[in-house]
Amino acid sequence: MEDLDDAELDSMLSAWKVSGMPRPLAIPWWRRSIRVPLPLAAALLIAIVYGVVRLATPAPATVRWEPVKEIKVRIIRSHNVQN
Amino acid sequence: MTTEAAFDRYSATVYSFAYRMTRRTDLAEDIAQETFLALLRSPARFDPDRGTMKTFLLSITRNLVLKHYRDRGESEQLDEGDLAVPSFDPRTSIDTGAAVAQAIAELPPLQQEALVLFQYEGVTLDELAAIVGAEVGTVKSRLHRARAGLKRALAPYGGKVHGRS
Repeated sequence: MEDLDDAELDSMLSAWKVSGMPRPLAIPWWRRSIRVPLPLAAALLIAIVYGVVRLATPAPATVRWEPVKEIKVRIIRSHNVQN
Repeated sequence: MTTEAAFDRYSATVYSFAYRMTRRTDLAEDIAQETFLALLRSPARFDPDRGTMKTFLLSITRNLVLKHYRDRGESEQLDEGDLAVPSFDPRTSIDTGAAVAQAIAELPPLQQEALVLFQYEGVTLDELAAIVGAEVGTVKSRLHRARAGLKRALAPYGGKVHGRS
């Protein structure tokens, strides 16, 4: 039996069609990315940096109110009072 | 190019190649997914100086297909051997497409991939050589052997279709 020629082979090969189609890409959630507009991203970055700096900076020392530990009573006479 | 963009552009080609090499839709779907997840995991492996995104993805697909063959214990068929002489009778196939699929399945895998990539996925000989990691002359030879084998194997069916004896 005579073999096919190139044209006949190409014609036959074109008859084989692909069945099905690829599934949508299932990217794991921890590898997903989102698009964020640049101004919003810059604002977020500034806010984060500000927050970190504020947390890292120690708060200024404040005078704490404490109860009197010892009361020393001193009587002052009226003639000692100078107006 | 992001993985999503690469998927939009090349998923059909990758799936088609995987399907024609495995002839199973479920396996082709899995291989196509795995191909793009490999790109997602290691995008730096793609070097534009060494080839296009298409050839890069098809080379990943090829490795996954060959792994499938190895897992099925068909590695001995990877050898090129002589001209393929399919053992089936194409005249019993229900249609031309099925006959072609069966005839190609009977080819050694290295000839199959050369034929599928060149004939169906439209890659050039240079791209084909890059994908399979061989010289252009080698893939040209594989392609020639594959076509010669198919011309012989499909001759009875072609004779019936084209009115030849």
